[in-house]
Amino acid sequence: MKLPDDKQQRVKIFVMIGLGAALVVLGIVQGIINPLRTSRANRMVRMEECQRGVERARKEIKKAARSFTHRMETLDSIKRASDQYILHPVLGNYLLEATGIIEAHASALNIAIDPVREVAISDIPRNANAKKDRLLKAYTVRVNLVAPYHDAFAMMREIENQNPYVCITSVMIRPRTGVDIERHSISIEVQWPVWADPEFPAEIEEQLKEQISKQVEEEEDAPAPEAIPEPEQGAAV
Amino acid sequence: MNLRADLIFASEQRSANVVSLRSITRVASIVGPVIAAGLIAFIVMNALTLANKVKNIEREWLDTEPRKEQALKVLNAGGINDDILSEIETWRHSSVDWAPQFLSIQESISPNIQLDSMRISQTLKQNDKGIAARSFTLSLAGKAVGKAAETAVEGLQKHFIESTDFKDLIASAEIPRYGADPDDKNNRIFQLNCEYTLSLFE
Repeated sequence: MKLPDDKQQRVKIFVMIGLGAALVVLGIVQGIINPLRTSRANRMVRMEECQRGVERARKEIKKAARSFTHRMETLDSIKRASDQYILHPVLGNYLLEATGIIEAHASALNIAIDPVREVAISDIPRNANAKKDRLLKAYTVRVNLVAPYHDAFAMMREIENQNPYVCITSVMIRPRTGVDIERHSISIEVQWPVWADPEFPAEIEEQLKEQISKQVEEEEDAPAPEAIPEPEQGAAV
Repeated sequence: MNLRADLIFASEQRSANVVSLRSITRVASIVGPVIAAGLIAFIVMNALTLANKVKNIEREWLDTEPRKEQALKVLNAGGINDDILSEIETWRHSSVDWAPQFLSIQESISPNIQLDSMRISQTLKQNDKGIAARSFTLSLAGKAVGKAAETAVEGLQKHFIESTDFKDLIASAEIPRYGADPDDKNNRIFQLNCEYTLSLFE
């Protein structure tokens, strides 16, 4: 295309071309570049959000995996304490088991005792800042005997040694004046922890089984040790 | 005299420079759109790559999220179990071993003291922080014989306050009753009350 000879005309054409080019550039910036930039900014925000989410998730998964041993130990300790030291109802009452324990100690020490009597199942007050009720209640029995001081002492020692969670809450030693100065009237109250919900030990048992089966599943699913790229692959979830 | 002969019109005159306005215009008319197209292509490619990355990370998040929820449940259950074990342990901490104390009383009591009765009782309380606790009281009643009766009773009180078997357990040891025995004026009857420090359920 030949430009006009007239300089003024030529300038006009250049100005028109310049304006046209500017409009095209503006159109490109507004129509393509700006929406892309906005979209990019949004995607960056979304990506960061997702990355944070993934990192958080990985952290929790790793934490859960790392805590596996601790959780197993805790469950095991609860189960052991529950089985060995917490009293369980036999046919709906605790007296049979409590009597069995007391009589076993008395018999081992060759001490004659009166029949063991139930005192009460009582609540331990909640701590002021506690949100939930206690899971354990107190079961108390009374045992009366006529024995020398050292026999009572030996029996209490046996009861305490056998179960560190048991508590002797009351002892009364009175003389039998005019009858027998060696042997006293002795009354001892022994308190055991009992589950507020008697079904609770079964729940613990269930949890233990669940944890063990999960661990077994994960061990089976896990790749060969040399191929494990990251620790969270073995997450216990 | 100088002579100038113009054989072409002014409009037909051309610049002798290599870079003319026309050449700039020509180059710009090609290079400008090419650069713009390149820039747009770069931005579009970037956007596509980013979109792809976002899609991948979103998929990863979607995959990880249920495992995280599961992990949180497991951690929460673990926390609850920790609390349960702590509650069980509060029974061990709040329990008082009486056997060593009985042995200590038996071994330390003066020969001129004869105990008539012994009473241990417990009440449940809360300490100033609101923690539940066992509060024990030990009450001894007996007879002290001979001239050293007073010294013997004071010695027993001191034993509860100062001996290693009791000093960490006993908050106070008081003698609320001390007087002549109605049966024998030479002997003294006494009562000794010991308040134990609170055994906390914690």
